[in-house]
Amino acid sequence: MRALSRAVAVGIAALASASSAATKCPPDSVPVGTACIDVYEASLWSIPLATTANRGLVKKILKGTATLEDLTAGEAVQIGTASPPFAMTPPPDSFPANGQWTPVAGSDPPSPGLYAASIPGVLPSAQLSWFQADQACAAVGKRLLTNLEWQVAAASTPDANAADDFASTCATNTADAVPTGSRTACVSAWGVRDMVGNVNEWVGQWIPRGPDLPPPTPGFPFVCVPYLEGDLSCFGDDSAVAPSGLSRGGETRDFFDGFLSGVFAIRNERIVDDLFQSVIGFRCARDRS
Amino acid sequence: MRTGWSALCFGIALAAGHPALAAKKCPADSALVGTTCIDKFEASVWLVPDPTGKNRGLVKKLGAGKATAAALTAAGAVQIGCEPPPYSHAAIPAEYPANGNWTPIAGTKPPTPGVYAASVDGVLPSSCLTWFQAAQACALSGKRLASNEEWQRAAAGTPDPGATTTATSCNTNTLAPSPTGSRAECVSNYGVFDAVGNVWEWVADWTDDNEGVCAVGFLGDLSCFGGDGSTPIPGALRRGGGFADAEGAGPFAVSSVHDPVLTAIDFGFRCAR
Repeated sequence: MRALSRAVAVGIAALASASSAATKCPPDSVPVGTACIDVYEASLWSIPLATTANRGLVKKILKGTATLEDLTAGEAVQIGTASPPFAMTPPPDSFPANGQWTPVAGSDPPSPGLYAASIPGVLPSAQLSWFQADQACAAVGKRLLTNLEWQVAAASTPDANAADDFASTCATNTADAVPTGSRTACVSAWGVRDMVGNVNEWVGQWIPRGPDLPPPTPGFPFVCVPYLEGDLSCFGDDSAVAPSGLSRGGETRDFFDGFLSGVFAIRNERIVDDLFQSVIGFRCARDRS
Repeated sequence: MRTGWSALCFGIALAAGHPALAAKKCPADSALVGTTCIDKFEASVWLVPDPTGKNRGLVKKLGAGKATAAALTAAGAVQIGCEPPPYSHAAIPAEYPANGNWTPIAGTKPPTPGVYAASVDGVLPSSCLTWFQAAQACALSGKRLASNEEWQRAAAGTPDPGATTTATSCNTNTLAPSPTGSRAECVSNYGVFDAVGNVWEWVADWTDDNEGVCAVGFLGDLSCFGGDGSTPIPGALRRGGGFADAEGAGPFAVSSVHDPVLTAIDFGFRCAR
Protein backbone atom coordinates (compact mmCIF):
# COMPACT_ATOMS: atom_id res chain seq x y z
CA MET A 1 0.00 0.00 0.00
CA ARG A 2 2.85 2.31 0.94
CA ALA A 3 4.67 1.43 -2.30
CA LEU A 4 1.51 2.14 -4.24
CA SER A 5 0.99 5.59 -2.77
CA ARG A 6 4.67 6.41 -3.29
CA ALA A 7 4.42 5.35 -6.93
CA VAL A 8 1.23 7.35 -7.42
CA ALA A 9 3.00 10.37 -5.96
CA VAL A 10 5.95 9.83 -8.31
CA GLY A 11 3.56 9.54 -11.24
CA ILE A 12 1.80 12.74 -10.35
CA ALA A 13 5.12 14.51 -9.76
CA ALA A 14 6.30 13.39 -13.19
CA LEU A 15 3.23 14.92 -14.79
CA ALA A 16 3.61 18.11 -12.79
CA SER A 17 7.23 18.57 -13.77
CA ALA A 18 6.37 17.93 -17.41
CA SER A 19 3.92 20.80 -17.30
CA SER A 20 6.36 23.18 -15.62
CA ALA A 21 8.99 22.32 -18.25
CA ALA A 22 6.53 23.66 -20.87
CA THR A 23 7.28 27.19 -19.70
CA LYS A 24 10.43 27.24 -21.87
CA CYS A 25 10.00 28.71 -25.32
CA PRO A 26 11.16 27.12 -28.59
CA PRO A 27 14.26 28.77 -30.09
CA ASP A 28 12.34 30.73 -32.75
CA SER A 29 10.59 32.70 -29.99
CA VAL A 30 11.13 34.44 -26.66
CA PRO A 31 9.09 34.32 -23.46
CA VAL A 32 6.92 37.38 -22.81
CA GLY A 33 4.55 36.92 -19.89
CA THR A 34 2.40 33.87 -20.62
CA ALA A 35 3.27 33.65 -24.35
CA CYS A 36 6.19 32.62 -26.55
CA ILE A 37 6.40 35.42 -29.11
CA ASP A 38 8.11 34.72 -32.44
CA VAL A 39 11.33 36.73 -32.64
CA TYR A 40 10.86 37.48 -36.36
CA GLU A 41 8.04 38.60 -38.62
CA ALA A 42 6.57 35.56 -40.31
CA SER A 43 7.75 34.14 -43.61
CA LEU A 44 5.30 31.72 -45.21
CA TRP A 45 6.60 28.70 -47.11
CA SER A 46 5.19 26.15 -49.50
CA ILE A 47 7.04 22.90 -48.87
CA PRO A 48 7.03 20.11 -51.46
CA LEU A 49 6.86 16.50 -50.31
CA ALA A 50 5.81 17.70 -46.84
CA THR A 51 4.53 14.28 -45.77
CA THR A 52 7.41 12.27 -47.23
CA ALA A 53 10.93 13.52 -48.00
CA ASN A 54 10.44 16.84 -46.18
CA ARG A 55 8.64 15.45 -43.16
CA GLY A 56 11.68 16.21 -41.00
CA LEU A 57 11.76 19.80 -42.22
CA VAL A 58 8.11 20.29 -41.26
CA LYS A 59 8.84 18.85 -37.82
CA LYS A 60 11.68 21.34 -37.44
CA ILE A 61 9.37 24.24 -38.29
CA LEU A 62 6.87 23.05 -35.70
CA LYS A 63 9.65 22.82 -33.10
CA GLY A 64 11.02 26.24 -34.03
CA THR A 65 14.42 24.91 -35.12
CA ALA A 66 14.20 25.23 -38.93
CA THR A 67 16.72 27.54 -40.61
CA LEU A 68 16.73 29.28 -43.99
CA GLU A 69 19.35 26.73 -45.10
CA ASP A 70 16.97 23.90 -44.15
CA LEU A 71 14.13 25.50 -46.11
CA THR A 72 16.34 26.14 -49.14
CA ALA A 73 17.64 22.55 -49.05
CA GLY A 74 14.04 21.32 -48.96
CA GLU A 75 13.24 23.47 -52.03
CA ALA A 76 10.62 25.39 -50.10
CA VAL A 77 9.13 28.40 -51.93
CA GLN A 78 8.26 31.60 -50.08
CA ILE A 79 4.66 32.75 -50.39
CA GLY A 80 3.56 36.39 -50.47
CA THR A 81 3.17 39.29 -52.83
CA ALA A 82 4.83 39.17 -56.26
CA SER A 83 5.41 42.94 -56.17
CA PRO A 84 9.00 44.07 -55.85
CA PRO A 85 11.00 43.89 -53.66
CA PHE A 86 9.11 40.89 -52.28
CA ALA A 87 8.96 38.97 -55.59
CA MET A 88 7.32 36.00 -53.89
CA THR A 89 4.92 33.39 -55.17
CA PRO A 90 1.29 34.43 -54.51
CA PRO A 91 -0.76 32.09 -52.33
CA PRO A 92 -2.23 29.13 -54.25
CA ASP A 93 -5.97 28.96 -55.01
CA SER A 94 -6.20 26.34 -52.28
CA PHE A 95 -5.27 29.03 -49.70
CA PRO A 96 -7.62 31.90 -50.64
CA ALA A 97 -7.89 35.35 -49.04
CA ASN A 98 -11.00 34.34 -47.09
CA GLY A 99 -9.03 31.65 -45.27
CA GLN A 100 -11.23 28.75 -46.40
CA TRP A 101 -8.33 26.50 -47.38
CA THR A 102 -8.40 23.11 -49.00
CA PRO A 103 -6.28 20.40 -47.36
CA VAL A 104 -3.46 18.85 -49.35
CA ALA A 105 -4.68 15.44 -50.46
CA GLY A 106 -3.60 12.76 -48.01
CA SER A 107 -2.35 15.18 -45.34
CA ASP A 108 -3.00 13.89 -41.82
CA PRO A 109 -3.75 16.01 -39.85
CA PRO A 110 -5.27 18.10 -42.66
CA SER A 111 -2.78 20.77 -43.77
CA PRO A 112 -2.83 23.56 -46.36
CA GLY A 113 0.78 22.64 -47.19
CA LEU A 114 1.95 26.12 -46.17
CA TYR A 115 4.09 26.73 -43.12
CA ALA A 116 4.85 30.01 -41.31
CA ALA A 117 8.39 30.30 -39.96
CA SER A 118 10.16 32.73 -37.63
CA ILE A 119 13.64 33.01 -39.14
CA PRO A 120 16.13 35.83 -39.81
CA GLY A 121 17.46 36.97 -43.17
CA VAL A 122 14.35 36.83 -45.37
CA LEU A 123 11.81 39.45 -46.39
CA PRO A 124 8.65 38.99 -44.34
CA SER A 125 5.73 37.52 -46.28
CA ALA A 126 3.24 40.27 -47.06
CA GLN A 127 -0.03 40.97 -48.84
CA LEU A 128 -1.80 38.23 -46.97
CA SER A 129 -5.27 38.80 -45.58
CA TRP A 130 -6.05 38.60 -41.88
CA PHE A 131 -7.70 35.22 -42.54
CA GLN A 132 -4.64 33.86 -44.33
CA ALA A 133 -2.31 35.10 -41.59
CA ASP A 134 -4.53 33.58 -38.89
CA GLN A 135 -4.65 30.20 -40.67
CA ALA A 136 -0.94 30.26 -41.48
CA CYS A 137 -0.09 30.52 -37.78
CA ALA A 138 -2.58 27.79 -36.87
CA ALA A 139 -1.12 25.41 -39.45
CA VAL A 140 2.16 25.37 -37.49
CA GLY A 141 0.57 25.09 -34.06
CA LYS A 142 0.71 28.82 -33.36
CA ARG A 143 -1.70 31.75 -33.45
CA LEU A 144 -1.70 35.47 -34.13
CA LEU A 145 -0.68 37.60 -31.16
CA THR A 146 -3.39 39.36 -29.25
CA ASN A 147 -3.18 43.14 -29.25
CA LEU A 148 -2.11 42.97 -25.59
CA GLU A 149 0.70 40.56 -26.39
CA TRP A 150 1.88 42.67 -29.31
CA GLN A 151 1.96 45.82 -27.17
CA VAL A 152 3.83 44.15 -24.32
CA ALA A 153 6.35 42.44 -26.60
CA ALA A 154 7.12 45.67 -28.50
CA ALA A 155 8.16 47.64 -25.40
CA SER A 156 11.18 49.89 -25.80
CA THR A 157 11.83 49.15 -29.47
CA PRO A 158 13.72 52.29 -30.57
CA ASP A 159 11.56 54.27 -32.99
CA ALA A 160 13.71 55.78 -35.73
CA ASN A 161 10.96 57.90 -37.33
CA ALA A 162 12.71 60.09 -39.94
CA ALA A 163 16.16 59.09 -38.71
CA ASP A 164 16.09 55.68 -40.41
CA ASP A 165 19.80 55.11 -41.11
CA PHE A 166 19.12 52.34 -43.67
CA ALA A 167 21.50 50.12 -41.73
CA SER A 168 20.78 49.31 -38.09
CA THR A 169 17.68 51.30 -37.06
CA CYS A 170 14.12 50.11 -37.52
CA ALA A 171 13.00 50.47 -41.15
CA THR A 172 10.63 53.43 -40.81
CA ASN A 173 11.58 55.74 -43.64
CA THR A 174 12.68 53.68 -46.57
CA ALA A 175 10.93 52.58 -49.71
CA ASP A 176 11.10 48.84 -49.27
CA ALA A 177 10.82 46.11 -46.69
CA VAL A 178 14.09 44.72 -45.34
CA PRO A 179 15.13 41.20 -44.34
CA THR A 180 13.94 40.07 -40.90
CA GLY A 181 16.44 40.77 -38.13
CA SER A 182 18.75 42.75 -40.42
CA ARG A 183 18.23 46.03 -38.57
CA THR A 184 20.22 45.09 -35.50
CA ALA A 185 19.07 47.97 -33.26
CA CYS A 186 15.41 47.24 -34.00
CA VAL A 187 14.80 45.01 -31.00
CA SER A 188 12.45 45.29 -28.03
CA ALA A 189 13.30 44.98 -24.35
CA TRP A 190 12.09 41.38 -24.58
CA GLY A 191 14.27 40.50 -27.59
CA VAL A 192 11.60 40.65 -30.29
CA ARG A 193 12.73 42.13 -33.63
CA ASP A 194 11.26 44.48 -36.21
CA MET A 195 8.09 45.39 -34.35
CA VAL A 196 8.42 49.00 -35.46
CA GLY A 197 8.26 49.60 -39.20
CA ASN A 198 9.17 47.06 -41.91
CA VAL A 199 5.70 45.53 -42.39
CA ASN A 200 2.53 46.22 -40.45
CA GLU A 201 1.58 43.17 -38.43
CA TRP A 202 -1.89 41.68 -38.14
CA VAL A 203 -2.97 40.89 -34.58
CA GLY A 204 -5.88 38.72 -33.52
CA GLN A 205 -8.44 41.37 -32.63
CA TRP A 206 -11.26 42.75 -34.72
CA ILE A 207 -12.83 46.12 -34.02
CA PRO A 208 -15.64 48.05 -35.72
CA ARG A 209 -14.61 49.12 -39.18
CA GLY A 210 -13.04 52.56 -39.43
CA PRO A 211 -12.91 54.83 -42.45
CA ASP A 212 -11.31 53.34 -45.53
CA LEU A 213 -7.62 54.01 -45.51
CA PRO A 214 -6.60 56.48 -48.17
CA PRO A 215 -3.94 56.16 -50.84
CA PRO A 216 -0.47 57.03 -49.57
CA THR A 217 -0.59 60.75 -50.17
CA PRO A 218 0.16 63.14 -47.33
CA GLY A 219 -2.20 65.97 -46.52
CA PHE A 220 -5.58 64.53 -47.43
CA PRO A 221 -8.40 64.40 -44.89
CA PHE A 222 -9.05 61.14 -43.15
CA VAL A 223 -9.90 60.02 -39.69
CA CYS A 224 -6.57 59.06 -38.23
CA VAL A 225 -4.70 61.05 -35.62
CA PRO A 226 -1.22 61.22 -34.17
CA TYR A 227 -1.35 59.12 -31.01
CA LEU A 228 1.36 58.59 -28.37
CA GLU A 229 4.75 59.87 -29.55
CA GLY A 230 3.06 60.88 -32.79
CA ASP A 231 2.44 57.29 -33.90
CA LEU A 232 -0.55 56.92 -36.16
CA SER A 233 -3.88 55.82 -34.71
CA CYS A 234 -6.77 54.87 -37.00
CA PHE A 235 -9.08 53.13 -34.61
CA GLY A 236 -12.78 52.58 -35.20
CA ASP A 237 -15.39 55.31 -35.48
CA ASP A 238 -17.24 54.91 -38.74
CA SER A 239 -20.77 54.16 -39.78
CA ALA A 240 -19.93 50.95 -41.64
CA VAL A 241 -21.45 47.92 -39.94
CA ALA A 242 -18.44 45.75 -40.58
CA PRO A 243 -15.33 44.49 -38.83
CA SER A 244 -11.73 45.56 -39.30
CA GLY A 245 -8.64 43.63 -38.30
CA LEU A 246 -6.08 45.46 -36.21
CA SER A 247 -2.56 45.89 -37.52
CA ARG A 248 0.30 47.19 -35.42
CA GLY A 249 3.68 48.88 -35.67
CA GLY A 250 3.55 50.62 -39.03
CA GLU A 251 5.65 49.93 -42.07
CA THR A 252 8.75 51.00 -43.96
CA ARG A 253 7.25 53.93 -45.83
CA ASP A 254 5.32 55.42 -42.95
CA PHE A 255 7.50 58.43 -42.31
CA PHE A 256 7.98 58.97 -46.03
CA ASP A 257 4.21 59.04 -46.43
CA GLY A 258 3.69 61.50 -43.57
CA PHE A 259 2.46 58.82 -41.17
CA LEU A 260 4.40 57.60 -38.18
CA SER A 261 5.17 54.02 -37.35
CA GLY A 262 6.12 53.02 -33.82
CA VAL A 263 5.16 50.88 -30.86
CA PHE A 264 1.87 52.76 -30.54
CA ALA A 265 0.92 52.75 -34.23
CA ILE A 266 -2.46 51.08 -34.63
CA ARG A 267 -4.67 50.77 -37.67
CA ASN A 268 -7.96 49.20 -38.51
CA GLU A 269 -7.61 47.50 -41.85
CA ARG A 270 -10.12 45.85 -44.11
CA ILE A 271 -9.82 42.18 -43.33
CA VAL A 272 -9.52 40.96 -46.89
CA ASP A 273 -8.81 43.70 -49.40
CA ASP A 274 -7.24 46.76 -47.82
CA LEU A 275 -5.40 49.13 -50.11
CA PHE A 276 -2.32 48.90 -47.90
CA GLN A 277 -2.30 45.15 -47.73
CA SER A 278 0.92 44.93 -49.73
CA VAL A 279 2.70 46.01 -46.59
CA ILE A 280 0.77 44.01 -44.03
CA GLY A 281 2.55 40.96 -42.73
CA PHE A 282 2.15 39.10 -39.48
CA ARG A 283 3.87 37.42 -36.57
CA CYS A 284 2.87 34.28 -34.69
CA ALA A 285 2.92 33.21 -31.03
CA ARG A 286 2.39 30.13 -28.93
CA ASP A 287 0.95 29.78 -25.44
CA ARG A 288 3.82 29.50 -23.00
CA SER A 289 2.09 27.27 -20.49
CA MET B 1 9.72 -4.28 -9.03
CA ARG B 2 6.89 -5.25 -11.27
CA THR B 3 4.44 -4.12 -8.64
CA GLY B 4 6.23 -0.78 -8.43
CA TRP B 5 6.02 -0.22 -12.21
CA SER B 6 2.35 -1.12 -12.39
CA ALA B 7 1.63 1.14 -9.47
CA LEU B 8 3.54 3.95 -11.19
CA CYS B 9 1.55 3.42 -14.39
CA PHE B 10 -1.62 3.34 -12.34
CA GLY B 11 -0.59 6.58 -10.70
CA ILE B 12 0.05 8.27 -14.03
CA ALA B 13 -3.17 6.92 -15.49
CA LEU B 14 -5.03 8.11 -12.44
CA ALA B 15 -3.49 11.55 -12.70
CA ALA B 16 -4.10 11.78 -16.44
CA GLY B 17 -7.57 10.31 -16.46
CA HIS B 18 -9.17 11.73 -13.35
CA PRO B 19 -10.92 14.95 -14.28
CA ALA B 20 -10.00 16.75 -11.06
CA LEU B 21 -6.32 15.80 -11.25
CA ALA B 22 -6.08 16.38 -15.00
CA ALA B 23 -7.42 19.94 -14.68
CA LYS B 24 -4.93 22.78 -14.80
CA LYS B 25 -3.46 23.47 -11.36
CA CYS B 26 -3.12 27.07 -10.37
CA PRO B 27 -0.37 28.63 -8.27
CA ALA B 28 -1.43 29.60 -4.75
CA ASP B 29 -1.88 33.31 -5.57
CA SER B 30 -4.64 32.56 -8.07
CA ALA B 31 -7.87 30.65 -8.58
CA LEU B 32 -8.82 28.41 -11.49
CA VAL B 33 -11.65 29.97 -13.48
CA GLY B 34 -12.42 27.87 -16.55
CA THR B 35 -9.08 27.56 -18.34
CA THR B 36 -7.39 30.51 -16.66
CA CYS B 37 -5.64 31.08 -13.35
CA ILE B 38 -6.98 34.45 -12.20
CA ASP B 39 -5.08 36.28 -9.47
CA LYS B 40 -7.09 36.24 -6.25
CA PHE B 41 -6.08 39.78 -5.35
CA GLU B 42 -5.85 43.11 -7.12
CA ALA B 43 -2.26 43.69 -8.17
CA SER B 44 0.32 45.34 -5.99
CA VAL B 45 3.37 46.48 -7.94
CA TRP B 46 6.81 46.20 -6.36
CA LEU B 47 10.23 47.56 -7.18
CA VAL B 48 12.60 44.75 -6.24
CA PRO B 49 16.30 45.62 -5.75
CA ASP B 50 18.93 43.41 -7.39
CA PRO B 51 16.26 41.25 -9.08
CA THR B 52 18.61 38.98 -11.02
CA GLY B 53 21.23 38.72 -8.24
CA LYS B 54 20.52 38.62 -4.53
CA ASN B 55 16.73 38.62 -5.01
CA ARG B 56 16.60 36.12 -7.86
CA GLY B 57 14.86 33.61 -5.62
CA LEU B 58 12.21 36.13 -4.66
CA VAL B 59 11.49 36.94 -8.31
CA LYS B 60 11.12 33.21 -8.98
CA LYS B 61 8.69 33.02 -6.07
CA LEU B 62 6.68 35.89 -7.59
CA GLY B 63 6.36 33.96 -10.84
CA ALA B 64 5.38 30.83 -8.94
CA GLY B 65 2.77 32.72 -6.90
CA LYS B 66 4.54 32.05 -3.61
CA ALA B 67 5.82 35.50 -2.63
CA THR B 68 4.22 37.21 0.36
CA ALA B 69 4.08 40.90 1.25
CA ALA B 70 6.32 40.15 4.24
CA ALA B 71 8.92 38.43 2.06
CA LEU B 72 8.87 41.32 -0.42
CA THR B 73 9.35 43.88 2.32
CA ALA B 74 12.09 41.83 3.99
CA ALA B 75 13.97 41.77 0.67
CA GLY B 76 13.90 45.56 0.45
CA ALA B 77 11.16 45.70 -2.19
CA VAL B 78 8.93 48.78 -2.11
CA GLN B 79 5.43 49.09 -3.43
CA ILE B 80 5.05 51.66 -6.21
CA GLY B 81 2.02 53.55 -7.50
CA CYS B 82 0.12 56.54 -6.12
CA GLU B 83 2.31 58.63 -3.83
CA PRO B 84 -0.32 60.67 -1.89
CA PRO B 85 -2.09 59.15 1.15
CA PRO B 86 -3.79 56.83 1.75
CA TYR B 87 -1.54 54.95 -0.67
CA SER B 88 1.80 56.52 0.27
CA HIS B 89 3.47 54.25 -2.26
CA ALA B 90 6.90 54.97 -3.67
CA ALA B 91 7.15 56.92 -6.92
CA ILE B 92 7.08 54.97 -10.16
CA PRO B 93 10.68 55.15 -11.41
CA ALA B 94 11.48 57.15 -14.54
CA GLU B 95 12.83 53.94 -16.08
CA TYR B 96 9.28 52.57 -15.99
CA PRO B 97 7.42 55.31 -17.86
CA ALA B 98 3.71 55.73 -18.53
CA ASN B 99 4.04 54.43 -22.10
CA GLY B 100 5.44 51.09 -20.90
CA ASN B 101 8.78 51.43 -22.69
CA TRP B 102 10.93 50.40 -19.75
CA THR B 103 14.68 50.55 -19.47
CA PRO B 104 16.42 47.48 -18.05
CA ILE B 105 18.55 47.84 -14.93
CA ALA B 106 22.16 47.68 -16.17
CA GLY B 107 23.56 44.17 -16.09
CA THR B 108 20.28 42.34 -15.45
CA LYS B 109 19.90 39.01 -17.20
CA PRO B 110 17.20 38.54 -18.37
CA PRO B 111 16.77 42.29 -18.85
CA THR B 112 14.32 43.67 -16.31
CA PRO B 113 13.33 47.03 -14.84
CA GLY B 114 12.97 45.32 -11.45
CA VAL B 115 9.21 45.96 -11.46
CA TYR B 116 6.87 43.06 -10.71
CA ALA B 117 3.16 42.60 -10.05
CA ALA B 118 2.13 40.44 -7.11
CA SER B 119 -1.18 38.97 -5.97
CA VAL B 120 -0.94 39.22 -2.18
CA ASP B 121 -3.47 40.05 0.49
CA GLY B 122 -3.35 42.77 3.11
CA VAL B 123 -1.86 45.60 1.04
CA LEU B 124 -3.46 48.50 -0.78
CA PRO B 125 -3.68 47.74 -4.49
CA SER B 126 -1.27 49.72 -6.66
CA SER B 127 -3.04 52.51 -8.56
CA CYS B 128 -1.94 55.47 -10.69
CA LEU B 129 -0.46 53.10 -13.27
CA THR B 130 -1.31 53.28 -16.97
CA TRP B 131 -2.60 50.31 -18.94
CA PHE B 132 0.85 50.05 -20.52
CA GLN B 133 2.57 49.88 -17.12
CA ALA B 134 0.00 47.37 -15.85
CA ALA B 135 0.44 45.14 -18.92
CA GLN B 136 4.23 45.14 -18.54
CA ALA B 137 4.11 44.49 -14.77
CA CYS B 138 2.01 41.36 -15.34
CA ALA B 139 4.33 40.14 -18.11
CA LEU B 140 7.44 40.72 -16.00
CA SER B 141 5.91 38.35 -13.43
CA GLY B 142 5.21 35.74 -16.12
CA LYS B 143 1.54 36.68 -16.26
CA ARG B 144 -0.73 38.88 -18.39
CA LEU B 145 -3.69 41.17 -17.90
CA ALA B 146 -6.96 39.25 -17.66
CA SER B 147 -9.16 39.61 -20.74
CA ASN B 148 -12.60 41.16 -20.40
CA GLU B 149 -14.19 37.75 -20.80
CA GLU B 150 -11.96 36.21 -18.14
CA TRP B 151 -12.67 39.10 -15.78
CA GLN B 152 -16.42 38.72 -16.22
CA ARG B 153 -16.22 34.99 -15.65
CA ALA B 154 -14.09 35.36 -12.50
CA ALA B 155 -16.33 38.05 -10.94
CA ALA B 156 -19.44 35.84 -10.96
CA GLY B 157 -21.21 35.69 -7.63
CA THR B 158 -19.44 38.66 -6.04
CA PRO B 159 -22.14 40.32 -3.87
CA ASP B 160 -22.74 43.88 -5.04
CA PRO B 161 -23.62 46.11 -2.05
CA GLY B 162 -24.63 49.04 -4.24
CA ALA B 163 -24.19 52.21 -2.20
CA THR B 164 -24.51 50.41 1.14
CA THR B 165 -20.90 49.67 1.98
CA THR B 166 -20.28 47.88 5.29
CA ALA B 167 -17.02 46.86 6.94
CA THR B 168 -17.09 43.45 5.30
CA SER B 169 -18.88 44.16 2.01
CA CYS B 170 -17.18 45.21 -1.21
CA ASN B 171 -15.73 48.72 -0.97
CA THR B 172 -18.06 50.69 -3.23
CA ASN B 173 -18.92 53.87 -1.37
CA THR B 174 -16.02 55.23 0.67
CA LEU B 175 -13.28 57.76 0.16
CA ALA B 176 -10.34 55.36 0.03
CA PRO B 177 -9.27 51.90 -1.11
CA SER B 178 -9.06 49.06 1.38
CA PRO B 179 -6.35 46.41 1.69
CA THR B 180 -6.66 43.51 -0.75
CA GLY B 181 -8.75 40.64 0.56
CA SER B 182 -9.76 42.54 3.71
CA ARG B 183 -13.48 42.63 2.83
CA ALA B 184 -14.49 39.10 3.74
CA GLU B 185 -17.79 39.08 1.82
CA CYS B 186 -16.27 40.58 -1.32
CA VAL B 187 -15.38 37.32 -2.99
CA SER B 188 -16.64 35.63 -6.12
CA ASN B 189 -17.85 32.06 -6.50
CA TYR B 190 -14.34 31.19 -7.67
CA GLY B 191 -12.54 32.75 -4.70
CA VAL B 192 -11.47 35.97 -6.41
CA PHE B 193 -11.49 38.99 -4.07
CA ASP B 194 -12.46 42.63 -4.63
CA ALA B 195 -13.67 42.36 -8.24
CA VAL B 196 -16.44 44.79 -7.32
CA GLY B 197 -15.34 48.25 -6.14
CA ASN B 198 -12.06 49.09 -4.41
CA VAL B 199 -10.15 50.01 -7.60
CA TRP B 200 -11.21 49.75 -11.23
CA GLU B 201 -9.24 47.01 -12.96
CA TRP B 202 -7.63 47.42 -16.38
CA VAL B 203 -8.32 44.41 -18.61
CA ALA B 204 -6.55 43.44 -21.83
CA ASP B 205 -9.19 44.53 -24.34
CA TRP B 206 -9.13 47.81 -26.21
CA THR B 207 -12.14 49.36 -27.86
CA ASP B 208 -13.04 52.83 -29.09
CA ASP B 209 -12.11 55.57 -26.64
CA ASN B 210 -15.49 56.47 -25.21
CA GLU B 211 -14.76 60.03 -24.05
CA GLY B 212 -17.41 60.11 -21.36
CA VAL B 213 -20.72 58.97 -22.84
CA CYS B 214 -21.93 56.88 -19.92
CA ALA B 215 -25.23 55.35 -18.93
CA VAL B 216 -26.67 53.24 -16.18
CA GLY B 217 -26.08 49.80 -17.63
CA PHE B 218 -27.02 46.27 -16.68
CA LEU B 219 -28.40 45.93 -13.12
CA GLY B 220 -27.60 49.57 -12.39
CA ASP B 221 -23.85 49.30 -12.94
CA LEU B 222 -22.04 51.98 -14.88
CA SER B 223 -21.55 51.47 -18.64
CA CYS B 224 -19.32 53.76 -20.68
CA PHE B 225 -18.76 51.66 -23.76
CA GLY B 226 -18.56 52.26 -27.48
CA GLY B 227 -17.28 55.03 -29.68
CA ASP B 228 -19.08 58.30 -30.00
CA GLY B 229 -17.68 59.15 -33.41
CA SER B 230 -14.90 61.38 -32.15
CA THR B 231 -11.17 60.85 -31.68
CA PRO B 232 -10.07 57.61 -33.36
CA ILE B 233 -7.78 56.41 -30.60
CA PRO B 234 -8.09 53.30 -28.45
CA GLY B 235 -9.77 53.19 -25.06
CA ALA B 236 -8.66 50.43 -22.72
CA LEU B 237 -11.43 48.69 -20.84
CA ARG B 238 -11.70 48.91 -17.05
CA ARG B 239 -14.00 46.74 -14.99
CA GLY B 240 -15.79 46.55 -11.65
CA GLY B 241 -15.86 50.18 -10.50
CA GLY B 242 -13.91 51.91 -7.77
CA PHE B 243 -14.27 52.77 -4.08
CA ALA B 244 -16.35 55.89 -4.73
CA ASP B 245 -18.65 54.73 -7.53
CA ALA B 246 -21.51 53.66 -5.21
CA GLU B 247 -24.30 52.01 -7.28
CA GLY B 248 -22.17 52.42 -10.40
CA ALA B 249 -19.68 49.78 -9.20
CA GLY B 250 -20.53 46.13 -9.69
CA PRO B 251 -19.75 43.00 -11.68
CA PHE B 252 -21.16 44.62 -14.82
CA ALA B 253 -19.44 48.01 -14.50
CA VAL B 254 -17.45 48.68 -17.65
CA SER B 255 -15.70 51.75 -18.99
CA SER B 256 -13.59 52.67 -21.97
CA VAL B 257 -13.54 56.34 -21.08
CA HIS B 258 -9.79 56.40 -20.78
CA ASP B 259 -7.01 56.27 -23.26
CA PRO B 260 -4.68 53.50 -22.01
CA VAL B 261 -2.01 56.05 -21.10
CA LEU B 262 -4.11 57.87 -18.50
CA THR B 263 -4.19 57.13 -14.77
CA ALA B 264 -6.30 57.82 -11.69
CA ILE B 265 -6.24 57.11 -7.97
CA ASP B 266 -8.84 54.38 -8.43
CA PHE B 267 -7.38 52.62 -11.51
CA GLY B 268 -5.64 49.36 -10.66
CA PHE B 269 -5.48 45.98 -12.37
CA ARG B 270 -5.36 42.23 -11.88
CA CYS B 271 -3.15 39.66 -13.61
CA ALA B 272 -3.82 36.15 -14.89
CA ARG B 273 -1.91 33.16 -16.24
